[in-house]
Amino acid sequence: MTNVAPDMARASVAAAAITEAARPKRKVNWVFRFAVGWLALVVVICMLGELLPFVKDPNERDAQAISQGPSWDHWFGTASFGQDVFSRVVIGGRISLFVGFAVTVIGIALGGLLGLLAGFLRGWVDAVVRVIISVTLAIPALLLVIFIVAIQGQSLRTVIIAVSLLAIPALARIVRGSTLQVADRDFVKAAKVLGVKKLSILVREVLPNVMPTLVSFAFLTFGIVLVAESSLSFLGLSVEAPTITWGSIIGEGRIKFAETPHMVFLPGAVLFLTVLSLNFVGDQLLKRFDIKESGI
Amino acid sequence: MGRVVRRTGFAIILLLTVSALTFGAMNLLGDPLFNILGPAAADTTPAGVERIEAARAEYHLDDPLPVRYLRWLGDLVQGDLGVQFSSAGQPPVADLVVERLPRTAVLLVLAQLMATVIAIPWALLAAPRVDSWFDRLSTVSTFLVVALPNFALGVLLKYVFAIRLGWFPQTYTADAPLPDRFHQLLLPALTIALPAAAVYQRLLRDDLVSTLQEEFILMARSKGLSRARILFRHALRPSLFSFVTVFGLTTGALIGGSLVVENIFRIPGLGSAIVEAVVREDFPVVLAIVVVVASVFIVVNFVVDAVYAVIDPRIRR
Repeated sequence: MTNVAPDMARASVAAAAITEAARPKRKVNWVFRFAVGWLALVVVICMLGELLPFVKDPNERDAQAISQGPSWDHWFGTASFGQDVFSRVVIGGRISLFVGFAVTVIGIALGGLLGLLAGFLRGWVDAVVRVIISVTLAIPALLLVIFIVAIQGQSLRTVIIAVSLLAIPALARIVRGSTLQVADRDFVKAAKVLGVKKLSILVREVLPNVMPTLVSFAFLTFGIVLVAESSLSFLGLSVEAPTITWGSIIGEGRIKFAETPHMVFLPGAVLFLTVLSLNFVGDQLLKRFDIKESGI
Repeated sequence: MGRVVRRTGFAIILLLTVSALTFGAMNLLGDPLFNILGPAAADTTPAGVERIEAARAEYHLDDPLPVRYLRWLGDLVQGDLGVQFSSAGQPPVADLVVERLPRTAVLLVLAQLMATVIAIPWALLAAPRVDSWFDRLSTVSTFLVVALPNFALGVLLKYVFAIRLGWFPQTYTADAPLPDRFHQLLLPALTIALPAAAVYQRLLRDDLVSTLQEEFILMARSKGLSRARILFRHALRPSLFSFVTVFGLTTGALIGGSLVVENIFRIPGLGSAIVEAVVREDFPVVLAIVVVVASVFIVVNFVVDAVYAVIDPRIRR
């Protein structure tokens, strides 16, 4: 859904301006706190991993406990060789989150730079960037990722590069739009008239005002990347076994679904809650950062 | 008129660029012979050498890249997509695509129809009652559905409606009679349609909320028109713009969704064909499917763009 995010955000902010004017502002947004708390929890547990007492070796097989449902010993049940699914989710989450993080950073850095330059310099730079955006967005996202993985082979590096190719143009498109708006504001024009250097205007006037949009979309992108990577490993086309990711656990659990439904639903629920939290935080930040011209 | 010419030109340039890039990537990143033949490229047995020679001749690998691209493009335009390498060339790639494309196409059309049919009434119900319990509930549920990964939704729907309740078949059978095949596609289509419907509902609802604040709506109300008439005749059309813009883009997400859903419901469409081809390292098939699907996607966006001009007279210049 990467490509539609900016359109959704724009409409949503416009409608929120109308609906929320009528509603008294609540002081504490509990859902927002819950979302941030969940994200923090997931990141901390996945980072600490084996150091935590309740995380076992994700590859340790146990012939006594094959394909069991959730229990006190195995919170998320066990896999088809008796591996502890909870530990697999924790260790697999590390790869999933790493891919999400790496792609978001690459996307923000390169996509942000392209969008910023295109929106600010206009002219031929803008034309080139727009062509790059149109060409990349002309291939359906998941298909592009699969194509790259097909010619480059299944490795962590390839998956990151492939998914980045999806994130860069999408973010460039968003940042370009945002930069165009900011560059049109009076303080930027004033700086131009005063003869401030272009680079200086870009870094000191435009960038700080594009930053909030960028940060909001970083969260949304992270969620989209998590889903993209999981879909890929669900299809068996992401990082190859024995490396575990959230998608591969779900893909594995689906093969013998009647015996291991918990391997689909519990990791699925973790992924779902994480993506939901990322979307919610991104959406809320976008609304909070929305500066209305009339309000200045 | 100028706009039509410009957009057509743009679509054609886009098609050429996409095909050139994918063909180039296939041939430049890594050994083209390996990309065509897979591990068999290193085969030194007489049969292996024969296949390598066949591949060299078929793909004219000794020619420079631009010449090869033009030749490949010429064949492509004439409907010749080369031969599959992993299953001894049979059926030719073009036949494979022709066999599998209709299933994916029907699946996608069905999904878009479902999404639209769900989203428009839903938005029309929610928008006039801003902040009511119904509106809040639908905003929350769209949030939930959008965050639900396609494959999780697919497995869930299959489990509940096909395995537990038995309302739908679990898999697709290609030689079943037409009504049965249609029935088999409903659940997969719903899997792809639900997230799209949620996106459409949110967009349309948000735009409707903005439109309903406009003065011409106030004017219509003061004339004493009924609520339904105002909604359908006055508010809906000017609120459709972001919906239509996103409709084309979403097709890309739906194609991604069909890759996953065809896998879950075992539908032998283009999505499962490309996944199988990647696993078998059958690159002519991968390349053909990417180019064909990207072309369809570009054409869909071109058509959507034309529709946009129909509903928004302002850009018809």
